[in-house]
Amino acid sequence: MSARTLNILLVEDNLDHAELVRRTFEHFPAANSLHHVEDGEAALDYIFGEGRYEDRLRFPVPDLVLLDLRLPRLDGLDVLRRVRSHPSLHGIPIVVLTTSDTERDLAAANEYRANGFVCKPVDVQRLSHLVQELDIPGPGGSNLPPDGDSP
Amino acid sequence: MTAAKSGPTDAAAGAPFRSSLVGTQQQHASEAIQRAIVNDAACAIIATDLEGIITFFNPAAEQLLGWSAAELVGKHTAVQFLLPGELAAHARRLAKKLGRPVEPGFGAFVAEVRAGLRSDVEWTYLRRDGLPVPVLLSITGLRDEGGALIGLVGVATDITDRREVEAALRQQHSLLEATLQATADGILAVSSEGRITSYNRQFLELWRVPKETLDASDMNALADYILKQLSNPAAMQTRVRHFNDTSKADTFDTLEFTDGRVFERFSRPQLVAGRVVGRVWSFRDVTARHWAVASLRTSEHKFKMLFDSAKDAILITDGKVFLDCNQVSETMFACPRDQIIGQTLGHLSPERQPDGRRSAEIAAEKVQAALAGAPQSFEWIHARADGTLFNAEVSLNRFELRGQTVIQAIIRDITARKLAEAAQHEAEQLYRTLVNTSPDGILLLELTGRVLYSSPKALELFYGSSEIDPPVLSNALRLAGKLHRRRAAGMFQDALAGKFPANERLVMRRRDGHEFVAELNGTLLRDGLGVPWGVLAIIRDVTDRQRQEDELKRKNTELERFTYTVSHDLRSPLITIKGFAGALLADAAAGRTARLHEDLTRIVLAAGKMSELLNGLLVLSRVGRMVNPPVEVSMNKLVQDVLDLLAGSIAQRQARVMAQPDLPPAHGDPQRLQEVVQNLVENALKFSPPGSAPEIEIGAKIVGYQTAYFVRDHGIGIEPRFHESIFGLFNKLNPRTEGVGIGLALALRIVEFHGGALWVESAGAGQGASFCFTLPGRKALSASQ
Repeated sequence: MSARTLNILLVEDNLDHAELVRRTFEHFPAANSLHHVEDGEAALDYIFGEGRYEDRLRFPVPDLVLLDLRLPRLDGLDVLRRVRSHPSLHGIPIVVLTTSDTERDLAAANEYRANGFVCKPVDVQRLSHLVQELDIPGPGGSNLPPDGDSP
Repeated sequence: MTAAKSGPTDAAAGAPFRSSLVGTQQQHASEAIQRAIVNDAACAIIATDLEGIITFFNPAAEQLLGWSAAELVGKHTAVQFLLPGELAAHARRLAKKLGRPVEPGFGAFVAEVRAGLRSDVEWTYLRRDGLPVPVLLSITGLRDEGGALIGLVGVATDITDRREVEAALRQQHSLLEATLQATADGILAVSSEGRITSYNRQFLELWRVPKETLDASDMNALADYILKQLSNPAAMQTRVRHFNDTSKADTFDTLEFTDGRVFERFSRPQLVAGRVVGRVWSFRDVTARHWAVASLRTSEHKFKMLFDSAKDAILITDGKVFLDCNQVSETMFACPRDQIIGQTLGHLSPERQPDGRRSAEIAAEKVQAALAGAPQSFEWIHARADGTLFNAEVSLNRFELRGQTVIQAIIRDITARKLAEAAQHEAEQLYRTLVNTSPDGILLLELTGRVLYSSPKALELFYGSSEIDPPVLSNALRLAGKLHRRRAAGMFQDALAGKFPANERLVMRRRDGHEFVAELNGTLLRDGLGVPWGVLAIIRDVTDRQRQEDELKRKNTELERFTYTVSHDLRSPLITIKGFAGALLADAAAGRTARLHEDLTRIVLAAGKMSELLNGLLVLSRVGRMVNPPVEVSMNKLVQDVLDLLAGSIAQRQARVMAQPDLPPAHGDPQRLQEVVQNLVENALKFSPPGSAPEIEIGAKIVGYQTAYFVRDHGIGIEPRFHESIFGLFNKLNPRTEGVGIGLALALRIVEFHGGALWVESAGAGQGASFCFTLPGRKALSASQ
């Protein structure tokens, strides 16, 4: 059976930060396909398969969403809420990216219904642990060469 | 007196007598005796025949009746001397006695004698001169030798004297009886034999003895009766039993009853010719007197107790000198009692009283008034024995002490009180000074809110001047500004309920309309019994402080916002730097150099971004120092200047800018205001939809009570949820646009510094946006009201 690729949606408006995340996933011990959007509305379109992301073959439902909180046009919180209230897609694992420990604590305390919180810059170890914890269905640890991808 | 020589006809035969003489001697002797008896007797002897004709009339009869024998013998009847009424009565009595009718005449006597009855009756004889004379008439029959009745002999004794004695005796007796009955004492007379000889009604009443007991002369029953009522019968027993005491002594004692009555008992022997024949007892109910004396003793005792135990000095005077004084007096005046008693009234006072009058004079006046019955109460300066003076409160009262009218003077040393009063006065003065000079306004309110007192500062606060004549002080609640009256009323009600305003702020209005921010503190005032009677309100003008506090609050908020933003917005580039530095290290370790240049560039750019942010911060922080004192600014001119400055950008975008011509002038720092307008216009140019020519309008409108300047565009608009955040530091709606994003933050700070407000009005995306700002001008009120 073929190794399944982990599909990741990164929602981040800071291009430098997005680049850092991309590089992190280059070293990820599993095959993965990272897609990047820069604002909340695009994120929702992607997750729900709407707008320009209708094509699910090209834009599969993400196995994991990495969500920055402060986004233009649609707030990270709003994205969370909208996803969580979706009839079928509410269960998608979403990890919130925060810029500081304080922010992470605040976010957690305010019951953002994320599956986890990670401080930027993202650490690859932390990330893989998280993925394991979240029991995300995906490829069982392969050493295939990383397949960097960018939209 | 003519002596009739004829002897009685049957005298010798009817008068048997014995003697030692015989024969004719005997006859002579008996005749002599008869003569002596008849002639010299003191009694009147009248003999009659059976018809009543007088046959013999002795000298005594002549003397008694005033007739001579010669005139009467053989001529008249003896009945003529009698009163017909008496005769008739006698006849009736006789008829009753004999049981047959008796004719009222001489025949009655004859009948009486014949019936063998001896008649000893008192009659009234009529003398010749008409005067009546009472006599005792004894009638016997005159018999012959055969014993046949031949006549009557009456012996009449003049009982005038006896009658008089009897009358006197009767009179005395009735007087005695009246006295006995009239006396208030109960009297009992007992004979030596133990018989009750006399008693009066009072005795009955006093002892509540039934009459029958006394009439029965039952001494034992009486004794029992009496003993039962006494409170100590045993003690009385022996004495009571001796009601028939035969001693000659007078006795006296007091009897106490179980029912509280008290009797005095007195007895003395009844003597007749020096011999004790009985004893007379008299009893007097002295209950009232007894108890009066007892109560007098009690009240005197009470008085004595008060006198001795009082804390005040008590002196007794008759109006001239001191008669007595209690122990406290000795202490108060530092003078032994014996040096007070006998002294004149002026002795314990200085020569003169504070009003200048002589003490003795005033004292005399007061004492006289008290003696007249008007109690006196006054303050006085007294002098002790050593001459030192002290303040006293004196009260004078008249009263009777052991029968004498005296004045009781009660003297209280009020030195302590005077000191306390002086201290209180001083305290009040101090308090008044404090209230009058306090920088806070002080109001004293009734529970209804009516103003009782208003300190000068309060008058100044509410009326603008403390020189106002005490105005008709309106209800305190009206002093609150209209907007806050309800709140003021609520606070007042809370105060009445015990919840006091503590540092509550309220806008209050002065008479001339000027408003100021007042800080209120209040407390409920209670009287000595804890009952609330008023409210004390302290009002402080804190307008300046309010403004400072608002400023401080604003600064703090901004600082927080600032700090948050700084830590946040600077963090982003830091993350970039950190991240790419890490990537560089990894690459270097692995010998990879492909991304070296790119990564380093990112780092440098990020650092540069940080530097920009920090510079922007610095600019913002220095706004305060950069704002110049306000002057009148022509907004028309200012707008024109801005448009001139931006002429290039405007032309480049092909923007149309319309500026209203009659913008009201503003008050502020022209340079800073220009920066604000410039910033807003630049934003408007930036946020126009790409491809179309921006349309910008600059003008002024009325918002509320103020003038607001606005810069309106028809660009991309701003969604309502971003209306606040766009003014935040570094917030950029579009991260891709140039600039650091402090423009609006800076504009906001400048406008706020002028005391105005800056905000955006925009319906949402694609609806354009209107940035408005106000500049309040001269009034100092903070926008945070």
